[in-house]
Amino acid sequence: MKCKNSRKINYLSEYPQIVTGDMLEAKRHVNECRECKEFLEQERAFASLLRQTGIKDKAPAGLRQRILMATPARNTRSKLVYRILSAAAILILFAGGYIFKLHSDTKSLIENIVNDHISFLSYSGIQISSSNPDEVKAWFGSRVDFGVNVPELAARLKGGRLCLLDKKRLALVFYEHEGSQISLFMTGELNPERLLSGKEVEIKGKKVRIVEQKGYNLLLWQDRGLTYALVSDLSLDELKKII
Amino acid sequence: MDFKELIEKHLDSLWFTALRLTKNKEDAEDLVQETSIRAYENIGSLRSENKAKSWLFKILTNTFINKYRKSKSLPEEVDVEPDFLEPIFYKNGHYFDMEKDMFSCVMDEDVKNAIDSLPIEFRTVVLLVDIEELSYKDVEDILKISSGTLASRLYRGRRLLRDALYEYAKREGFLKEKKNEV
Repeated sequence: MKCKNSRKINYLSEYPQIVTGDMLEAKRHVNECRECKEFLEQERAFASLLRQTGIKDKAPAGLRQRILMATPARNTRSKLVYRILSAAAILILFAGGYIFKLHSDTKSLIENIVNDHISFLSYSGIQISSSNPDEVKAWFGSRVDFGVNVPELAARLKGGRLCLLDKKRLALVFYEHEGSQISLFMTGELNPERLLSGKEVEIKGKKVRIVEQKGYNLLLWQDRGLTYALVSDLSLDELKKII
Repeated sequence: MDFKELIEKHLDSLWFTALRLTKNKEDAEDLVQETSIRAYENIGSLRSENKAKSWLFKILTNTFINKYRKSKSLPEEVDVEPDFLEPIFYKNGHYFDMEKDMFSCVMDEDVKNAIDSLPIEFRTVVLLVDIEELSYKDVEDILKISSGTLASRLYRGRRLLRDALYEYAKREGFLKEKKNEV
């Protein structure tokens, strides 16, 4: 066997899954050919020296924080446990009935939205910082699977970011009004029954559901194929003026 | 393992690779974020935690390729099989000592710049195989290439990286002209 073929065969075959006749011949050639032996040792040495350089930087703290904030805790360990839990959840849902399901869906949706709002109060993790609605809208362009609308509220637009809710990517837009942060979550159209919580009021011609959770006011509404959830510690009267 | 722990464990590696692929911090941040969101959304497709690293790198690489393919800024890959016979610096067992010298006198930034200077198809395999120590099998699967193509790209990538590092070392004045002393 010639050096070229031997080197080619040996190049990636340190731990082959299947040992072929060619491989055995190539190994034999390397044992007898000093240059090929040096060639392969050299390749290993180069890779090893490269690894020892310690050139890896740490990910920026801001990026780390943004990623960890945007991904709720979720276990990856046992799919069997997941399947059992999922099966159990389905049984419970059937047993508990449709109303219970809707109620718990709505409750968890509202809880998650308010929890996210609280998390982002201490750390906004703004990914697009701009007071220009068109710029913010454009940033979301290819990042979510629905057309984002950045409404012009009577509050200062700060920017936006992506967030995850029920495995779905949402657009989150931040505003500020008199020192209070307003988080506006946006997604495509949801089953309207998932929004059946709190009391319904009409604000500027829109049917809006109002819920109070952990001392925050949450306004839910749907408009032109989008579902909006606005959260803030502002009073209802102030929020009504803003949207 | 919690998903956050999993991401945190591999975040520095993902960041380093993303930075080398995109060559700028803003795009690298976008790429890592996109990767973590996709990983979260598709956690069900992770078959075993032992495969988490290669699974994350597959998502990162695919995201990168799709993004650049969309923007049409990724150069077309042309694989030419090398002969595996090109001399490195000089023969007869002197390579290793010289390379050790070379690595000891170039700065970390030089090594990063040298990696960045590689054409994308060579850069990717050097990053995945030599820096991240993923198995050949995993890299073939990540990049959807044959073992022959992987061998060619890795060989060419290492050659080009050696040449670039040699130039840095020479420029720094640490290394005397030895390349032609055959």
